[in-house]
Amino acid sequence: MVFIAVVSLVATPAFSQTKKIWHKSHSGSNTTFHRSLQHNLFGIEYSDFGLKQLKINVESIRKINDTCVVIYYHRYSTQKSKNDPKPSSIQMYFYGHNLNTLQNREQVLEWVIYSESNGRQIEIMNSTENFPIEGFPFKPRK
Amino acid sequence: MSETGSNINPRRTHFVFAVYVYLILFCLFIPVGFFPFQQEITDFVFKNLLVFLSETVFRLQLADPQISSDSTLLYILATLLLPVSVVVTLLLSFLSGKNIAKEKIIDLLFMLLLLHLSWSMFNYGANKIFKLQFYSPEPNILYTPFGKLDKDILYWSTIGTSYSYSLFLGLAEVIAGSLLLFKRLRRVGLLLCFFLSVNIFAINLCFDISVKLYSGFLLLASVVMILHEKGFLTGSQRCKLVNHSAPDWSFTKPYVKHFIHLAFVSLIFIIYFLPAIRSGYLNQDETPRHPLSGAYTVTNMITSDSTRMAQHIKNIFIHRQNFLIFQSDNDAMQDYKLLIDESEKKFILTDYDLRQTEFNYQYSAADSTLTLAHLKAGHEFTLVARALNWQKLPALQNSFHFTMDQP
Repeated sequence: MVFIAVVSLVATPAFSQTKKIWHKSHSGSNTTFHRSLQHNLFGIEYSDFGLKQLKINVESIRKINDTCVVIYYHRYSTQKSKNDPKPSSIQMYFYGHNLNTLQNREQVLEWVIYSESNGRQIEIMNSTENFPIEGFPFKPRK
Repeated sequence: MSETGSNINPRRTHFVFAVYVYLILFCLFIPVGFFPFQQEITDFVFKNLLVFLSETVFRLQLADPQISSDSTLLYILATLLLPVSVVVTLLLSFLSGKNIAKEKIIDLLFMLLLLHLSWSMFNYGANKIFKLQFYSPEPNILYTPFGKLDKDILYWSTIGTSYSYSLFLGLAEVIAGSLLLFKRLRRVGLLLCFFLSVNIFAINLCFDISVKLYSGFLLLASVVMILHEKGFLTGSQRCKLVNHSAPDWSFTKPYVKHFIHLAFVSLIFIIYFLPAIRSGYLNQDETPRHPLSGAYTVTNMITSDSTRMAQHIKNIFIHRQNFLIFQSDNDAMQDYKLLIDESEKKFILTDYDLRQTEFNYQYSAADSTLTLAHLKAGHEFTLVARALNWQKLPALQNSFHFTMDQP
């Protein structure tokens, strides 16, 4: 069961494609593609061979109280950019007012990456009842 | 039967050996994610050598060399594996001695290649079934004029408009991958893999999709294994379809073979199917979007800085993967990484030079209006945009007609 849970956390579904198609899917130009490729910008490192190349594992998400969750994630980088740090694990506190930005795992990762790169903690959500504590995008409970 | 007791024509043995060694090395070192840390291992073993070869032999200066799909280094690696496979073949031939031992090694290599092909079919098939590969095109693509899209994104987006076709392709690949695991059905599976690989390889070539090398490898692997199954590759003297001894896990006990297959199928299911099933979203296009994501047409634009934003912005798109895209009157697109800070009601835009710009935003549900305002160094910039009903566009409708003349 633990093994299944761990592997399930590792296998995060997300859009699978090539680096070029990922870049063009958000209207990136040929000029910005090389820059994006060079510095692994905006998630380009997650796409390759038409598939998702998982680079971040959300290990677990634990509810602390009604206004706070802790997200444990592990980030490993294979094609890191020159200025990219490579932590092994980090603990973040998320609390705040709006659940919508955390409807799926992609949003969680975005907030983790953003807050990590800016050195600040983001206040986000107001309730953990609908939040996918096990770290996978479930349909919101009514 | 030869003097060595082997059924294989001895003169072909080394050739077959080398072919399989090359294909297996390709599986091991092309970082397609066949096993964990494959990228790291490939980078560790080959990257410096490949960069050296690219600069000295091929006279190429790569700005940021990477071993990824259809990168220059990947092609050099695929080329480098040819002499490497010759060396490995000679080594294995020397160590294995008699031809009968080589036959067993070839059988083992065949089965490993079979597992890789099966894994690949399952992997790509699952991605198509759950709409992860050919996803529905985002509003910025939908509102880009047809002629302004490159062929690869055009093809990708077109396929993404049909869930049923993506499902059909995915099921075909999963079925092909499944058939490969049963000896009696393997030839059917290989034929299906061959036809799928031909189609995929042709699409990648014709639409300039950057998975040409790997899809070419899958096609080559299918062809080689079909020829081997039928005995043509080995030149077996018992080269009749009925009597030919197809490769199998004959070198190990039956329970080991069953365990390998069971473990393989279980891992495939857990990694590629279970997460989507547990989530309840079998079509990943239906996972929740941020409420603000979508398309907006600009109704009013106010700027006090005439040197910036020289072109009028006609549309704004908020991409579900957190990008904000401005479309100008001449359909030029400018994209930014977007972070929505709902606590402070801000859009934080990051450009490709990693400069950040903040906009205050306001959304009115009553009239579906989004207002973005930016004030910096005395320059004011305000955009008022009304939401477009992009989900009603014809490309996203599930239309179907048996007859052409009925409405």
